[in-house]
Amino acid sequence: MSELGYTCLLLGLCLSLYGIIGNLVGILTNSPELIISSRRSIYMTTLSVSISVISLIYLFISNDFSVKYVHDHSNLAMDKSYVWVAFYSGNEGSLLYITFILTFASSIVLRFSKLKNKDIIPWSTTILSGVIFFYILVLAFFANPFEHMNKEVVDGIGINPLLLHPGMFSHPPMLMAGLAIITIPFAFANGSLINGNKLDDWVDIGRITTLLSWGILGIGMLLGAWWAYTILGWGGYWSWDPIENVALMPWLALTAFIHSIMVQKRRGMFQIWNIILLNIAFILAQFGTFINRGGPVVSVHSFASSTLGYIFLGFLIFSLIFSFTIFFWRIPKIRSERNMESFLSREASFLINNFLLLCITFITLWGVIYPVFSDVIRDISVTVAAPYFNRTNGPLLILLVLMMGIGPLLNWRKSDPKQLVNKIFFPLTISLLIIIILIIFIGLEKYLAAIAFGSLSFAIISIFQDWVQNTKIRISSGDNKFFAWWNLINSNRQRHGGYIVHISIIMIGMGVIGTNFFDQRTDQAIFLEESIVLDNYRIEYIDLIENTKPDRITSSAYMNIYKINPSEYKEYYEEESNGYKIPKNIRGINDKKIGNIILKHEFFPNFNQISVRSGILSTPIEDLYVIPRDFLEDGRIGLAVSINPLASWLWISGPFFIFGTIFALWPTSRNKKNNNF
Amino acid sequence: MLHQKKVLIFLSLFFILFFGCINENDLTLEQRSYQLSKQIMCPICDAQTLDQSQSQLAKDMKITILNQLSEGKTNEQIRDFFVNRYGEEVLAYPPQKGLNIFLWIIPTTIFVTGVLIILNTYKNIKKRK
Repeated sequence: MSELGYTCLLLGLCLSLYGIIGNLVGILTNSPELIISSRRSIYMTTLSVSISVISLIYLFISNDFSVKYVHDHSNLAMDKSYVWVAFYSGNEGSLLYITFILTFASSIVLRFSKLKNKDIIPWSTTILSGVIFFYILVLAFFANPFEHMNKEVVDGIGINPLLLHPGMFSHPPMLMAGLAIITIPFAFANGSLINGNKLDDWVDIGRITTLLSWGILGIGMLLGAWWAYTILGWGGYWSWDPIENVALMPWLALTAFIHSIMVQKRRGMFQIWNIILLNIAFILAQFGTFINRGGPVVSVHSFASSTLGYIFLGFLIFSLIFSFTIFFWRIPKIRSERNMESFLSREASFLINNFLLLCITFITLWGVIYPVFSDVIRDISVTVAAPYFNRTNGPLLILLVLMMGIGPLLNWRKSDPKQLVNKIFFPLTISLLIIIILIIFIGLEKYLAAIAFGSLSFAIISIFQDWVQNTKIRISSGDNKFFAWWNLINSNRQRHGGYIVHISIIMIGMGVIGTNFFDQRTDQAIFLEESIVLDNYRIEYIDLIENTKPDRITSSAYMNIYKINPSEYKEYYEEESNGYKIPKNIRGINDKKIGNIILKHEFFPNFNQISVRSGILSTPIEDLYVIPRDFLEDGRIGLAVSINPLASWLWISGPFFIFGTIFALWPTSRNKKNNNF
Repeated sequence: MLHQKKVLIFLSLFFILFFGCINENDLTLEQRSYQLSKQIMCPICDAQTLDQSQSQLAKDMKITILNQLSEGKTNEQIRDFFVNRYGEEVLAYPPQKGLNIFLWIIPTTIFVTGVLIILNTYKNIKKRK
């Protein structure tokens, strides 16, 4: 079976090479047959890569430990449902997965694209074949997943225990898929640039494939944050780690693109700019692969590290040179663009949005590469972590949220200043009031949080104002009262899908501000039956159960959570501490049990690894979050207890994000197309 | 031109306001130690702060922080203590001196350049009118 898999990889290599050469020769000799046949070679590449994928899965299921990859990433004890995770848990398998997604998505797009007979397709197919060729080349000669073991073995090493969680079924594959699919809009944009005549043909397909990649990547990151928060017991969800950053940067560039592509679609402007944005996103995605697979930066996500870094660095440099050469070669040929008519216009607001997003992208990039830079120049190692990114990107993110509120108030081309003042009055006053009230309540030292909440409310009020006003107009012109809003958002799915995504971003913003500015935290070690009080919660340690399995030792600690009146516990209050310990059998009169949590601490001797499951009691207002830090020898348990205000909104945003993205992607039926704005 | 300068002055004030330093007073020792544990990296882990790390060294370092805080040391002194021991790498962001200034100059340059480009677009629109 491993021979079949490897042969199919080699076959895919030849087919994708044929895709490149066939297309180029076909374009030069003007031969449609050759072009069609080389486009079909992508379908055949997909088929052969799929067979490779199936053979690797088969090898996992049949426990064929003679194959090194299977041996390294699974064992007899592993539950077979984790084959899917084991498949991409290492370097070779994840590359095979990426290649599969890329070929599969390319085939689907090429098959159903309405551009089939347009001139840009051969060039785009050439670029796609080129990227696919590169990935299969790496798989076949540098990271072969079908390599055999040198010696006979009966059992494998096993899967990394940190990956043994349902979250791992979706987070890594979505991230990798999102990053892989960026190649498709990149290929279409550059294909049309090489062709050089029509720079608008690719806009629809570019927008749809970008939204797809952007949506998958976004959900992938959100799932990762959720997994880190609920499972890993880091106590956080986003730490501006290099690997997180390299996924965020292309996503930000794509975010800029999905806004500015609307300007090209509606107004025929920003043609060159949109191509630059996709080039940036693609190159940043390659940068991500480089960092991920043996780059020079340390990260907590060291699952797929390898020595392949410099091959991907080479590819990164090649794509950089390639896209800029084409760009400068073609730029004289591009006709001058239409000009912006007014600064008070939707397109100008998208310009500022793009500027802010790229600012954040490049500042993040600088933070990621600066340690390398410092190492080389001064020979001093430094670390650039969360505090830096929070300080630099935080204010820019607030400005971005403000733009999110201003955007919906502006018209395309130009807005009437008087009308704008009318529209902006309500959201602006309310949000200024919110800022003032918050400053009164939380004090001036957290003014940033107040400003941030004000910006969020500004953004959300302006969306709802837009919906209410337009729904009223629809009703007054005879639309059904109950469906008017639904009909409104259906009349322009791109715009209103965008608003729904904005609402999800506002929810994330709430969670981020709540957890960053208002979290409370205490570290205490307590005996059985003792309690910890933090704010108005009491956590009582009621039981400990230890359990030994062949692969792990699990300690489960059971806690009861009470909502209390802190003044009843005044005598135990400790100076210089947020939380305090309460001795055995002390209960307040007003204590109300609101739930119980189980904290798990698992030790995997084979990997010398610890996995911690924290306990969370979540409400829309705040999360009580308990991490088991230590199980001390004297019987105490060391707990890190924190209150994370508004944290659950980070996850509530997920369904809104998905719905908004799908809504914006949903094809508009033909009879509606004309009144679509 | 005058107009442009005014905008720049406004923006730089805005930035100074936003990048203002963290206020270390008025906090309990525990809050300060929590703050510090987010600013200091665990030297033996990959890219984890003391706050995130489960390692024994990180636990010991957190105890050191608490002890030094109760001795009355400032956050700055405690950071310096760890820098002397483990090198600059131990800080979650490098001290703002020497080459490290670039860590802050480059973002400001990126931002200002962008603002200038946008102002330029604005001027062009005005001119055409």
